[in-house]
Amino acid sequence: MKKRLLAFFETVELVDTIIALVGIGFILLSALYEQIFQHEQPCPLCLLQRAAFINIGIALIMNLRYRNKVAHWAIVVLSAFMGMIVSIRQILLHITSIEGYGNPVFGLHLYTWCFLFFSIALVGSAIMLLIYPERS
Amino acid sequence: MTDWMVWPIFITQLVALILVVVNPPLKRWGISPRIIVMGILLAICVAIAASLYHDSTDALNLYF
Repeated sequence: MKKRLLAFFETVELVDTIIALVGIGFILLSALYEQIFQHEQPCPLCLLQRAAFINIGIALIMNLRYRNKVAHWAIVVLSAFMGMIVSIRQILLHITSIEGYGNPVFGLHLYTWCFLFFSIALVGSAIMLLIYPERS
Repeated sequence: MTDWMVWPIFITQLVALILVVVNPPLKRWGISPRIIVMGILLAICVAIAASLYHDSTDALNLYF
C-alpha cells in the first residue's frame, strides 16, 4: 500500500513538472510575442524576470532528466523567489504612475502577471516538496 | 551589472540547458553534469539578486 502511494506521488510530481514546463514555455512565448509582434521592448528588469523563468524551466527539465529530486525543487523555489523580488521591485517602481510600464494584458501589466506566476511557482513547489516521496 | 550583461545570463542558461540535454560523461573528473548545472543555476540566482538596481524606465531597444 505504501509503495503504491509513493509511486502515485512520484507520478503526480512528474505530471506536475510537465504541466509547469508547458506553462513556462507559454509564458516565455507570450513575452516574445509581445516583444516581436506588439513591439513592446523589454526593460532590464523584464529580462531578469525571463531569466528567472528560464531557471525554473531548466530545474524542471532536470527533474525529468535526472529523476525527481529535492534539490531540483529547491532551485525552483530559489529562482521563483528571485523572480518575485525583481517583479516586486518593478511593481513598486511604477506604483505611483497611472499608466504603469507597457500595455496591460487582461487588465494587469506584465510584471504584475510575472509576480502572480512566480507566487504560483513558489506555492506549487512547496506543495510538491510536501508530498515528495521519501526513499530510504 | 550593466544592461548588456543581462545577455551573458541567457548564454550561461543555454550552456546549462545543453549540459542537461546532452549529459556529457564528465564523471571521470569527479563531478557530474547535474552538479555543474545546479551550480550554474545557483550562480544565476545570485546574478539576478545582484542586478536588482536595474531601472525599468528605459527599454533596452532590442529590435529584431
